[in-house]
Amino acid sequence: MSYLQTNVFRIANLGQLKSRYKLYRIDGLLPDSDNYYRNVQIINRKVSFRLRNPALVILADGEPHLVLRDDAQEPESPFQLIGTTAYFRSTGQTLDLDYEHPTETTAPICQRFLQFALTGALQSAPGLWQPSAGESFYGRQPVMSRNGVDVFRGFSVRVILLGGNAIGLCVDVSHKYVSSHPLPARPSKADFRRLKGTRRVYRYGSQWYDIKLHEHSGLTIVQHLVPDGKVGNISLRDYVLRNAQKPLPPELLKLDPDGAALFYMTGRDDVKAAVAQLCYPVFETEHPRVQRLHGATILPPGMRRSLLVGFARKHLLGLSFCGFKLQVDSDPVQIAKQRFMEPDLLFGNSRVYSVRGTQKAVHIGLDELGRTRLTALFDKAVGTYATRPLERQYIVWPRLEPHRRRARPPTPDASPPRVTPTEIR
Amino acid sequence: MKWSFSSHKAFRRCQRQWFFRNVIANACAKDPLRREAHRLSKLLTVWSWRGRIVDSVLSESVIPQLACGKEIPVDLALQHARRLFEEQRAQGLSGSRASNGASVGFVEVANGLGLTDETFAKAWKDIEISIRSFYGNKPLIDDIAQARRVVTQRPLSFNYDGAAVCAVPDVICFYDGRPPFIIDWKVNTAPIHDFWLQLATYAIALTRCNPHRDWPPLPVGMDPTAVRLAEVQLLANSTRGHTVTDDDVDEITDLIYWSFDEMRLACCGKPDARVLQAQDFLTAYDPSSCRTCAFQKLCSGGGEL
Repeated sequence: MSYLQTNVFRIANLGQLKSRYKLYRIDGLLPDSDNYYRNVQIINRKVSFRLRNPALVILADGEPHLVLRDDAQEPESPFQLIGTTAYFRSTGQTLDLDYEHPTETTAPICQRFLQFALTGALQSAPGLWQPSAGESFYGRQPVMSRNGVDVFRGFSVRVILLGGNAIGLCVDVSHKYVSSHPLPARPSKADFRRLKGTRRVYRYGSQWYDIKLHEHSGLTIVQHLVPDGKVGNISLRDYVLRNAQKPLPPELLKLDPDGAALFYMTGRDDVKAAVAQLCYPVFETEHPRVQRLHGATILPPGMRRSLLVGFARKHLLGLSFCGFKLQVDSDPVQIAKQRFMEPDLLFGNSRVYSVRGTQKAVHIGLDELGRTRLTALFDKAVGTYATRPLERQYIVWPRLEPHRRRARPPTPDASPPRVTPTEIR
Repeated sequence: MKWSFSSHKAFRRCQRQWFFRNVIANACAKDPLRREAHRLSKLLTVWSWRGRIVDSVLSESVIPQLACGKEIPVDLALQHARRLFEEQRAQGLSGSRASNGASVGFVEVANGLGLTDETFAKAWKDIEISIRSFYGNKPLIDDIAQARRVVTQRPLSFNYDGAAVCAVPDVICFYDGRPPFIIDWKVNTAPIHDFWLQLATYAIALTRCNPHRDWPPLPVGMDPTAVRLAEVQLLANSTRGHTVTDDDVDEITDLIYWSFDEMRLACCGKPDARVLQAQDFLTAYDPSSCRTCAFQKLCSGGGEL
C-alpha cells in the first residue's frame, strides 16, 4: 500500500500530561453581538499576555466562559472590550484536563494550553529566536546572505487536533528576511517619520524579537533614563549592558553614546525604549531586495520534509515543560492513499460521460477524460450543461485619482479601501 | 464636510465615534438621537478636562495680558484655574449647566465608572504643575511678549480639494519682519507622542487661510516652511520645536486629501444624517478607545436610543 506523507507528528506520551483549569462566566459579552468574535480574540490575547498564562473563551451551555489554568492569577474585571465591558465571574469550578482522551469541549482547551506551554519552552531553547507571539522559531545563523539581506530559516509548530480528538504537532518551514545592517545609530526626527510604524528585529543581546517603532524619544541612549529595579533610573545604554544576557555580543560593546533611543509598545501596551543601533529592518517577500531571494527559499518537498523531521528530532523530542517531557514520533504521520472513482459528467443535450461504466452514458477511459471534456464543451452537438444567457456581470475596481502625485500611504490600522461597483452591460 | 487633525485622528481610531461626533450630533435637530449625540459629544474625560482648564487659563487670561505687556502673577493664574476647576467639577458631577449655559460633563460619570477625590486631586496637581511650568519657561514668555500681535484659539480654515480644512492653534504670535510663531500646549503625563503632524497642519493652515482682519500683514510669499512651531509639553516641562520642509507640505496635503476622501467614501459621498446608520461605520480596533468614549451608550444600542 502507498502512503501520503504529512508534516504532523503524533505526541506519544499525552497520558503523562496533566493540568487543571478553572472557569469564569463572562457577563457583558453576548454571542450574537456585532463584535463577538473580535472581542473573543481580544480576551484570548490580552488576558494571556497580562497573566502570562493561556486563556481561552469557550461556549458552555450557549454562554461564553473564560478558561484559565488553575495556577493563573485572577483576571482583571471589568475588562474593556470593543463596544462593551466584560465581567469575569468565577464559577468556582476547577476541572481536570485529560489530554489523552479529550472531549469535544476540552479538545480546544488542551490545544490552547499545550500550544502555550510548548511555545514557552521553545522560547527558552538555545539557538532559537521567535520574532513575536504566534510566529515561527528561527535559527540565529542566516542560511543565506545576499544584497544586504540575511535569510533566517525557521519552523512553525502548531498543536492541531487529529481525527478522534487526538493531538498532534504540525511543523512547517518558513523564512524571514532581515537586513544585514542595523538602522543608523542617530536617525533624526525627520528620518524617523519614515520609520514610524515599521517593524524591526531588536537584537537585545541574545534576545531577538520584533518591535514596531512608535516614536523618536528625542534623546540619546545616555540621556534617556529607564527604571532598573532597586538601582533606580539608569541610562538606556547602561540598562542594556547590565541586563542583556552575558557574554555580551560585540555589537553591544560598540554602542554609540550619542545614538538615539526609540520608543516601541509591548504586547501589554507598555512603552519601552530601544537602541536605534540594535534595530534591524525586516523585509516582506514583495520587497525588491527580497524578490530574487524568495525563489531560493521555496524548497523541494524532499528537502522540506527532511528539514522539518530534523527540527522535530532536535528541538521537540525531549522538550520539557510543566514537569512533562515531550515524546513525539520520530517520523511524521503517514496516511494511506485513498482513491475515489471520477464521478459522471453531465454536458449539454443530456450527454453523460462516464469512466465508471454507468448505463446509458458514453463510456471513456480515465486517460481520455480531460481531452473528451474539452472537446465536448466546444462540440455543437454537446456543449455546456447550462445554455441560458449569462446574468449581469460586475467588475469591482478601486476608485483611482489620476491627478494625485503619490501612491496612497500604507495605513495598516486603517479600514480597507471602499470600492465602487461598475456595471458592465 | 470639515476636516481637522482631531477629526482625522478620531476617524482612524473609531469610525463610529467619528460618525456620532461629526455627522449626526446636532443640538437643534428634532431627532432625539441627534440631540443626545450632541450632548454626549460635549462630555470630557477628567484628563482632557484638566488640559482644557489649562488652555482656558493660559489662552483667555495669561497670554492676552502678556501680549499687552502685563503679567498676571502665577498665584492669580492658579486662583483663576482653581475657581474654574471647582465650578466645573461640581457641574460635571451634578449634571448641571454653567452660568453661560454651557454644559460640563464627564465621560467617566456617563459610562458608570465613577470618579474619586483622588482622581480630581491628581488632575488639580497636573493643572498646577502645568501652569507653573509655563511661568518657568522664560524663553517662551519672551517670545510671546515680543510679538506685535498675539491671537489665541483662533480657527483657521481653507479649502483643499473639496475639504474644508479647519485648524485651531492655541497661540499664534505675529512679529514685525519675522515669520509667525505657532504654539500648542500639551498636558500629557507620558508625552511619548510627537505632535509634529498637528503643528505642521497649523503652519499650512496659517499660510493658506484668508488673513484675518486683526492680523498684521504676513511677509510676502511666506510659506509653511518659514513658520516657527513649538509643541510645549507643560507637564514634562519641555518644548519641542518642529520644522516643515516643502516635501513635508506635499505629504501632509496628500494625507489631508486621502483622509478626507476616506471620510467622504464612508459617508457614500455625503454626510447625510437622515440616511446614514451607525452600523455602517466600523467600530474601534483597540478596545482602550472604547473606555474613554462618550458614545458608549449609543454604540452598544446600535445607534438607537
